[in-house]
Amino acid sequence: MTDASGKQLSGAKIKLEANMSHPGMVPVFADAMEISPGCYQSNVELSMAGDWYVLVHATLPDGRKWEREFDIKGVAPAGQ
Amino acid sequence: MLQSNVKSKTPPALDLLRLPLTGTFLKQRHARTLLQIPLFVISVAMVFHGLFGPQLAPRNLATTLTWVHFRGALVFVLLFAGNFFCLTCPFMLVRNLARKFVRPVRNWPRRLRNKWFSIGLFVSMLFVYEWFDLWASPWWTAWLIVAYFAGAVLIDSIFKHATFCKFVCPIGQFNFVASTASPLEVTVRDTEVCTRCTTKDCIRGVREPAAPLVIIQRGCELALFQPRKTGNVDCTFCLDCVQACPHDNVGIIGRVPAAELMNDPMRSGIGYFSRRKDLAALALVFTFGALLNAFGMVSPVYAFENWLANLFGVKSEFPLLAFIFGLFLICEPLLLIGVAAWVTRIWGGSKRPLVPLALRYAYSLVPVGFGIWLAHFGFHLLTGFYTLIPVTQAAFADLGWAILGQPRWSLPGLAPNAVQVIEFGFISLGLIGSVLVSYGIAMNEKVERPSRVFIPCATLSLMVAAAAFWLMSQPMEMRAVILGSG
Repeated sequence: MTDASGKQLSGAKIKLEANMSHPGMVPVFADAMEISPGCYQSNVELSMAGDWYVLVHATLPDGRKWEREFDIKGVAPAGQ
Repeated sequence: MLQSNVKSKTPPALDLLRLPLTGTFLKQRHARTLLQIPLFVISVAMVFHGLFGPQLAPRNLATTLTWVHFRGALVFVLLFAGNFFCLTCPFMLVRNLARKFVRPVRNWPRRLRNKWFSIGLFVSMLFVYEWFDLWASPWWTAWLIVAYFAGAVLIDSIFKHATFCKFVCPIGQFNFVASTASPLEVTVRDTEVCTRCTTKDCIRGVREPAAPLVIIQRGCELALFQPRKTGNVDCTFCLDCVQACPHDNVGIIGRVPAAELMNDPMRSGIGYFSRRKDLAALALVFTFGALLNAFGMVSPVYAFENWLANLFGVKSEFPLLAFIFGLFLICEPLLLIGVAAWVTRIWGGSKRPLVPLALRYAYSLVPVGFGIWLAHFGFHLLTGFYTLIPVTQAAFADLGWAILGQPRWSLPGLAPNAVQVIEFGFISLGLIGSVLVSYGIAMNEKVERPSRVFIPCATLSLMVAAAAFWLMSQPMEMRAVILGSG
């Protein structure tokens, strides 16, 4: 994560929420750990094949909140 | 043989209108309106949230309520009771309001007084659902609801009677077919009372004594004359006949589910099942549409679509879907029911032409088709039931009015593995129903060896059920985009 000037953002609290494109499926939640300055990593277990989107909820060290969404299309069934 | 329309002086074992609370409420003149108002309010909330709320399907009331809760609740109510969705239909609330200002003067064109147009709409609904990935789009789902309201008001403002319900509404047609397997039916308690009746208010409506052209309580708008009404097809459970009957002789009465499919009496407002190609086609589309709709949610469909795309060198989804729909909703049903009827004819030594025989046996597939719809919609309802809570909480919170607290997104439904057992149960129940109906039809056809004659159609039901078992055991893969997206 970087700010507008490209400076790495450390100390943010990041939560991930993964949802399927179909309603009615329980979302999957995970926290992201900062593994190096501005670099965050998380393992999210996508419980079903299909289209997912992930919401990234971040709280910056100064208290500001930030949210982004990205898609993960066509997750294959387990074992494929 | 089981008869679905036994109407005698013996009080029925179950009459919903004779039960203390339910009966008292449903017999109230404005009971239907009272039931419709909450659904109308919910519909308005769904449209509003679908158009202006978050465009993430699992977080929106329009998509969550429509594709998870409404569909699931619909099939469960049909299974355990009857066509109560049509009773509580919010579209009819607005339509009735519109009719206070607009009096329709036209009759629905004679050429369209059948189910072909509504079958086309029903298939179009299934097609659009796949093509536009309606389940993933709150915006399109909201517009679909608006289209239903607009359609009901427009059609019934131009055309008299319940034209929209009887000849247009795709949900209504689904309900009419599925409710043949329901345990409740709106029917007369004692036919002798009807024989003595001189006013026939159940069909004509209650007239103003001083002005016979003025109707103060309408009769059946779907042209179902109670004494000759058999079964649930075309019955919206509107209870107008209950209100109109001066002898309190119409009830919501318990019966053997699906038994009405075994018999082929002259039905008021419908005629003979065996002469209605449109109704038989509706039964087939209902059954094979259940398979197709479930097929769209599992992994193999994407491999199949990609294979077809490569085969035809096609990059667009529309022609592929059109091919799949044509294959599974026209070619496959016609071929299978044709072969089953042909074998039935040979084994039974019947002189009956092939087409009426095929029409007659087509209805035997309804229970297994209903079982597949139950399995599919039941899966979404049971696994996603509690998602209603956080989505509603979030909707209120988005309005800045978090009276329901912060959304609890982690509320689980039933585990998919547990629901799979229930899915298999529904399909098995449907299969048993279809086999029994096949046998009942063979018995009623008065063929020499019904135990042999019913086998082809029972085998067809078994094939449909086997396909459903296979589908339900496939990994779910809810995708919105195909053709090489993965």
